[in-house]
Amino acid sequence: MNRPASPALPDRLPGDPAPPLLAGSGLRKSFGLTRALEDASLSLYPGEVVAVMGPSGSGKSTLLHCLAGVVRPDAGTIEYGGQDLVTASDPRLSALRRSEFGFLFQFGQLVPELSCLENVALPLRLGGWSRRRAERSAAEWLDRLDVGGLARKTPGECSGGQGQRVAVARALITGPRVVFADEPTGALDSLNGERVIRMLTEAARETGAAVVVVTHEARVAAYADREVVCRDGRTLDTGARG
Amino acid sequence: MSLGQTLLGLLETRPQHGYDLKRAYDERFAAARPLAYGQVYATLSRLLKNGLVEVEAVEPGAGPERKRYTVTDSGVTDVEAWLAAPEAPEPYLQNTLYTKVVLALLTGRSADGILDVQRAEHLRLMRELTRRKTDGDLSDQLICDHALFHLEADLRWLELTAARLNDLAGEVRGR
Amino acid sequence: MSPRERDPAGPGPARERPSRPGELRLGAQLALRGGREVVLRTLLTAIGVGVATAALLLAASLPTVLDRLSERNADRVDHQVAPDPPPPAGEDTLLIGIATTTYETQEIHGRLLRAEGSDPPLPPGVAEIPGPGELLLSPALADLIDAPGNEVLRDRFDQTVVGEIGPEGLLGPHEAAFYLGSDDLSVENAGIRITGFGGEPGPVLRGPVVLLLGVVGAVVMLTPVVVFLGAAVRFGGEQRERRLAALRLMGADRGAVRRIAAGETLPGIGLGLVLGAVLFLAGRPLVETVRVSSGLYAGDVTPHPVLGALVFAGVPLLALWVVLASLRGVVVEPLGTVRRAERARPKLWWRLLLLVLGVVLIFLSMSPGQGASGDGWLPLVTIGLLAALFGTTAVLPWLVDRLFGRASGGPLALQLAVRRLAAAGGGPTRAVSGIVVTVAGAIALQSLFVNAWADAEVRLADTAAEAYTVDAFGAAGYQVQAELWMPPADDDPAGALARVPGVEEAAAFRTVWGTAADGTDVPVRIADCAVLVQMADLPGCSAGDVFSAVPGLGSGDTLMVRPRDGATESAWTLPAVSGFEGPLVEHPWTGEGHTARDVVLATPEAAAVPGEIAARSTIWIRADHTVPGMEEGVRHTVAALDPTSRAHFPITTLVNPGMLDIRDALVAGALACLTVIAAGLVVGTVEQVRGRRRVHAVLTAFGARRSTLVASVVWQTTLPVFLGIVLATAVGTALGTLIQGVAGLPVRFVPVETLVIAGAGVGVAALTTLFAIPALLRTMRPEGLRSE
Repeated sequence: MNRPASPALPDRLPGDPAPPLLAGSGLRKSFGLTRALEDASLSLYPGEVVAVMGPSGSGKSTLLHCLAGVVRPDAGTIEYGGQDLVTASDPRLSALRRSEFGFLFQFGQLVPELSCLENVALPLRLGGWSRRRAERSAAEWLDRLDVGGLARKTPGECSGGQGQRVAVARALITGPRVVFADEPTGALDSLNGERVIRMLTEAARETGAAVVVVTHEARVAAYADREVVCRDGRTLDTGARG
Repeated sequence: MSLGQTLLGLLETRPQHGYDLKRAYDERFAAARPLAYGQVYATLSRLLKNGLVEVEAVEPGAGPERKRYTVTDSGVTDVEAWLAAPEAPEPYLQNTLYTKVVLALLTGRSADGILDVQRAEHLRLMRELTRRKTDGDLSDQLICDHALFHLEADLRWLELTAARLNDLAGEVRGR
Repeated sequence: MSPRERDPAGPGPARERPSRPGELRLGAQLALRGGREVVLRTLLTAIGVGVATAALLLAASLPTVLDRLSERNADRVDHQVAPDPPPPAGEDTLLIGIATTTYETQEIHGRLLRAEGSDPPLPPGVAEIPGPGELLLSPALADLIDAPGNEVLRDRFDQTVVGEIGPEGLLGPHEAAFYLGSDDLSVENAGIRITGFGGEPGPVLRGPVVLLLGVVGAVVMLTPVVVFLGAAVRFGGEQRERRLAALRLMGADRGAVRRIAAGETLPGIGLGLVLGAVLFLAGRPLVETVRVSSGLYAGDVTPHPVLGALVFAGVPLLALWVVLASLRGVVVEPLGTVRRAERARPKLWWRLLLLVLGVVLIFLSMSPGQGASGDGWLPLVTIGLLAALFGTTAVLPWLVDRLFGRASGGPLALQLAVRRLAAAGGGPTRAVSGIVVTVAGAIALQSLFVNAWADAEVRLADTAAEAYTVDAFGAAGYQVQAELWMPPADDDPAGALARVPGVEEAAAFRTVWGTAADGTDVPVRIADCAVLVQMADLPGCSAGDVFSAVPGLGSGDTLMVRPRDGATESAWTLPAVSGFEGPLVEHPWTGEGHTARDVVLATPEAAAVPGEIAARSTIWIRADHTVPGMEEGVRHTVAALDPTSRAHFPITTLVNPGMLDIRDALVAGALACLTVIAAGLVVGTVEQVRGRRRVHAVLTAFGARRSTLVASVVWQTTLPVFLGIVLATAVGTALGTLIQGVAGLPVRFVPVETLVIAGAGVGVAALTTLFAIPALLRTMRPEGLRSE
């Protein structure tokens, strides 16, 4: 089910010749009169964890949505595996999101009517798996994140931290190459928040997935290999990786 | 906390007498503990000797208090380097960081830059501590967490200050 | 201290509780100033209340409608109130002849009129008795005559039209009726002398039975409206709850919050009442366009004053009840709304009670004692039916809980829909309940009526050919018989008919009635030998012969003959009489099994006296039914010979159109209910979909296809309707079977109507779902991912 975990690459240096997995540059996006992104760029290398930091309203979530192909930028380029995501068709983007990307949000991401198990199985079922196979795999992932006991419960019956761990399982179940996490700990206390970011980064490193995590919490960002700062819609790559 | 760079930064806004410098410093950075004159003059003479300031004019009368100081190019460079260099992320950095932010704003520089440099430095240490924490035993974790929370608090305070001061930048410059 | 000084609203540090009306007013203001959701909810509420009001006003008009119909019917009663024996002709007497006929399948009410003096009674809606050959038509008949393709009818009514029959003389706007002036109508022929029109209104459905039917109708009509209202008042519920929570924070207690919530719906209710009244008044003229039997005049549909007042008082209370019921599962707390998470799992046993009660009642109503005899069965069976229906809806939450709570398997879209339905709880269940009450009710009623329909539609033969074969009588194989009560306008009626295309052979004879000296009544049939030999097995016939085997009647005996009962009698002395034996040839429907011992057959040469007075003719016709227009041609010719005539044709089925109207009305009503319910379901779905904005955005981020989510929404509205219809079909058929079984009637089903309702229901649901899809697509935009 999962691709064999590729070796973690936290120590890759900037001069490394390996091409980025996902590269967005010169991204602009406006919502009505609001400029969310002015000129944002981000390159993501295979297997690395990048924190996107910045004050609220700085455009970091929009940057994440653009990179993930959820929001189409007004200008700029996004390249993933040799494809241009800015011009890719909607079905193509959807297929990419189903198979190559995983998502984690701050709140409200689990379908409230479905059980935790069904929620985790959802991305596989969207990818056409049979219900039985999908749920078997989902059960494994729930166990892996120490929330196996929640399989039959609905999200409403879980605590925030448990719900986020279920969401982590859902984000990773397809064996994505990139996980996009938007303030995954924003609604949690520090202990639960740390547990979630730690499980996310560890599981991602084991499966070789790269992670883009938008956060305003330094302690959460400290789990990343490097950080990118977003301010007024512009990115400021402080460079230092490792 | 570097008094030399602070005075240089204050001089960069405009040439001043030693007495004015002390007053400006007290006003902004030393509400509780005013600076002693001696300390000001000792520092100024050291800066003078190093060529970072020069006496622009001596007004009628005698004594050091009649000298008006101005910053030299190498003085500006020195301030610049100081502001650009991250402080070692130790606890209780507020005074230094605050001074840096205010001076940056006073001299028309970006407080965000200081913040970015400092955040990178803090995060570098935090990453290190996080790594140590995840690999370590419980006592390691507790110690690392203590440091991490302090660093985070400093960083958060710094961000808040920068955001507020950016808002108030106009007012600060007007003073 | 005056009360004014103690007025709590006065200035002072203590903030007093606002008055209860004040809270209602506050709620109303919130509704008027609120955002789009509130305005939309107010409009939806107004629509629900408006439809309910209009429907109930219609139901409240039922007594008036029945009254007016029976009054109009009674007002023009004529031959039923003719004095017996007939009074002498006078200034104030009128002769009428019954000329009611049919055109194709439509009955045309007709009378010949002949005033016998200067002051005849006038039928309602007629200002002056038409002169001979003058015609008064009802508007519907006039339209029918003018309609293209009805040339035959135009020929039949070729007299001078001198006016219209007024509404007060017609049962309804669609009744075809005519009055034709006559100068040869008399009591010797088809004439009936009357001194006035109008009698006591016949037995009208009145009292408890009508009340009961009204109650059932109102309940069945209101169920879908309540379902719709339930969805409407919940629209924008999230914002409302947030607003109410804010009010709690400001110090409103729970009761006050309820009152404010109730107040919020007041503008919608008020608007709805106005809308309902407008709908009713605007829709009333439409009643005249409904072509069910004679139809109704708009003025007939006037609410009974007491019932009308009840409607205007009851509908707002009903709407308020729905609002408060919608808040029942929700506790509004100062820091936001708490939904009682643990819904009590529905228990089965007490829910079954009502159902059992209903079944028992139906059994009781049909018990032998009640059975066919009394009127008692109808109330019992209706109450039993209602109890059973609502019992079923009480069992539903349990069933839905089982079905949706446990369901698994199927594609993802179905899974999402099922889970969403299970989470939504009340809404879909209410919809299913509404469908069960209305559709199962309609199906059960149809089962109840199906035997009546079976009678209403008696199948005599499979094909016209078969009918014409079966009905053939006599050696010549006649199939059609026409009866004329007036002397025919043509001396050779058989010849006139033989000229109608399709008619192969026609024979005519005349009839008078004679009384022998011993008081025996004998019909005397007068015809040429050619016809007489076809009527019976005669030993031979030549002009001047008379045949009879009536005991005690022979040559030289005198018969007192008369054209009809009550007419002048003349004496006829029989010439030589030859005997004969055997049965008489008779038309199979009207025949009475006469034999040679019951009748006198005479050639015209031998029956000068009877021939002189004979008014009544009978014509036998053999025709080719495959010739188009043959029947209309015969009818037309016969009517031209005598407007009071009647022609009997072999028919395949006997249809009582009234019963078919009831059937169509039931199907139409069920469909209307389904539409309202589906609309309510869509409102609920739109609301829920909007509430799931974030989840949908997240699913889209995960790469869910549009089609998957759209399909899930389609399932979400279609499933409850589908389930409801399946259940309603089962329950309705079961109840119908039960009623038929207990009543000892043959068990029949109504597959066609059931299928029509079921199919249309699912179609309506799928169609109305289209309205929910734009809302869904809006929620799938990535903007939903941005936190507030």
